[in-house]
Amino acid sequence: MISAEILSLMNFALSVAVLAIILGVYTIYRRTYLLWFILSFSIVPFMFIYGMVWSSYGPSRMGVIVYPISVIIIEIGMLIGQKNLISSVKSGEGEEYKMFLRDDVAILRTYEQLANFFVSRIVPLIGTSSIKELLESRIDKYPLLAGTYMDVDEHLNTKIMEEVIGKTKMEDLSLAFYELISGLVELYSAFVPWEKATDELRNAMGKATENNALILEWVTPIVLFRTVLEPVLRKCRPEDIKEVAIMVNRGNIGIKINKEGRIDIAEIYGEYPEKNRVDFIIQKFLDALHKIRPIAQQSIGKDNTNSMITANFRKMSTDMKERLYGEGLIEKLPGGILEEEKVTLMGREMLIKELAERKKKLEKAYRELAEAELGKMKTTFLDVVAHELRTPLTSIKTYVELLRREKLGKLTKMQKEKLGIMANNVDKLTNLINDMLQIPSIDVKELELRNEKFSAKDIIKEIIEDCKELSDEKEQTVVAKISSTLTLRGDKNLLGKAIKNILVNAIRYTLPLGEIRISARTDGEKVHLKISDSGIGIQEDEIERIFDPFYTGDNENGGMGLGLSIVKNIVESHGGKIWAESKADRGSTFHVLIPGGRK
Amino acid sequence: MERIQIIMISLNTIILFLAIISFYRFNRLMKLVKVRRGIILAISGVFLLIGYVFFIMPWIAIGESIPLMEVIAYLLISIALIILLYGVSRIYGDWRKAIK
Repeated sequence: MISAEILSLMNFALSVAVLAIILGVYTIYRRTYLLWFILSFSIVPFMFIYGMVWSSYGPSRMGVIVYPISVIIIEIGMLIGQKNLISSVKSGEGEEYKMFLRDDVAILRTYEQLANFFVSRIVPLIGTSSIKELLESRIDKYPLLAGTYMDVDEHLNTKIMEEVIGKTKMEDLSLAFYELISGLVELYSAFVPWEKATDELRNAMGKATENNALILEWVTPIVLFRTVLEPVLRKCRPEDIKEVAIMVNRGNIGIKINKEGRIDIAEIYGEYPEKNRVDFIIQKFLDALHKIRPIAQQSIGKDNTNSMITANFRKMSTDMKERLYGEGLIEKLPGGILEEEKVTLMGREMLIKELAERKKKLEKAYRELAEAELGKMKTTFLDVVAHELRTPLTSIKTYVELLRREKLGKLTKMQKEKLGIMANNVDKLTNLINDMLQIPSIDVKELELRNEKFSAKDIIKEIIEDCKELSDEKEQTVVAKISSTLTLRGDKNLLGKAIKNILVNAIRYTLPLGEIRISARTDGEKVHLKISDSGIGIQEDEIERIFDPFYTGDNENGGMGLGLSIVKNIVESHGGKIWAESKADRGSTFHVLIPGGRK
Repeated sequence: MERIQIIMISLNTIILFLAIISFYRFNRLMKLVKVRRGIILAISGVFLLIGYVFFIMPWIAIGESIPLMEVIAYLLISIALIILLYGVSRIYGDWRKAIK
């Protein structure tokens, strides 16, 4: 009797041989799943060596635990390998599975099942003789089917064909089986209503695609032409069928229509492309539909045609529908067919689009809210700081004035001079704080603006008078050309302050003996005010920023950069607009659009 | 029940559980595409499993080895490995032919 040791040695050799072959396969196609099989199988020889050592040196009882643990490791490796293999097959990555996992054999078996589906229905009605005759006629036309025969169980058997299947083109195989199955359906429809035969064909196709997804792209033309379009055509008047047949048979759609409305799709298999087959079929189907539908609508009515095609689509198997709709068939179908599905599909797309838009709006609103919150915080902070600073400044100013007027004792000349400087600086500081207070107050009072109507000429005249001292100091000329009929509308006090601010700036930045021009004209329902100076101008890159709060640029006038920001605030709170044009060393022009008109 | 038996039962329960998952995955694979040499590999797997059962059963049942069953187990495993060798050789042959 063979001893366990000898068998163990033999098994060791066998397992090494198996491992070597798997390694050989791996060298041909370096795939991850093969690596997992190799890794798990490499434990097997080790187990036999362990077994031999174990039996030679006397087994320890707990030593046997090594075996189940090794098997667990092997199984885990196998599971990972299987998982990777399934993913590889599903994704279609790598062509190697086509050699290992024969999709052509699978397709052949599915065709066999499809044919047998009808054979099993025909045999009880008329026996096998007609089927044998049909098969013989088809074999004459397609020698490829020679391996197909009726076996003793009264079923078509294709086992012999498996031997030659590798040398056959799938297009030829599909064409041969299409002809065979079509013949069987024709035979069957001789005994049952044609609609029933079509329904059975549709169901058989659905079942076949469920069992084997690979068959889908090969039976799609049968499903689309024979079960969706043909039933509609068969309902048409004979003369209309004839008309359609002439039109379609002359075209190059790849289908032929006979006088009964039967659609022959044999030519389509001859044109089958290497890739995007379903897309190709959809295109062919749409071409045929556009030719057949108008005549069918004339023959059986528009609503009837559309509802029949829609109903036929709906009867298709879920797998087939998902694939066809996934390829964009629904969107390409003419109006009136599968309208509900179109609405659902569009509804889904619209919903996604709307959700995306709403998300964008929400994000924008959130950003604005955050900015507004920040702005509010800034203004509150400025308000508090400015108020807190102004109170002690008033006190300082009072005491400085008392000291200057020698109410608190005699002063020397130098002390008086220094107190004068102090008073000036306190004034400057107070003005700045007043400016700062303008920003929050404008925001807050936005809704409380007074709506007055006043003469543009008068207010400009008043402002020029107010600034006369400043302009006279620099011997500048301020020229205003404003029609007395022009009126402005808004808060007179605030608008006056804004215009004055611009004018003061113009005076400040214009050299002595310079000229400042103020003009105004109507612009729709607004008044366009222009204040031009011949000053130092503003750099091009600074123009956009001069209205920003606290932007001072390179100015040496010691301002806080609030003036123009306040002006902008006032103008915009009146629904107006302000902008500037300037060239360095050539002066600036400030344009202000404020509500107003003529008297 | 001896300690070795309890350990064996526990470990083999895991093996059985993993084998069921593996069987389920194999079936899924078969549904996706027909495996040309799949049947050879499946038969080999069955023999391997039976061989393993023969080897491990005495340890589970009585907590030690039975020499005759061990020989039968090794014999079954030999058959399994021969079938497996044949299967993988055919697959290798297919693939070699395919890349030529």
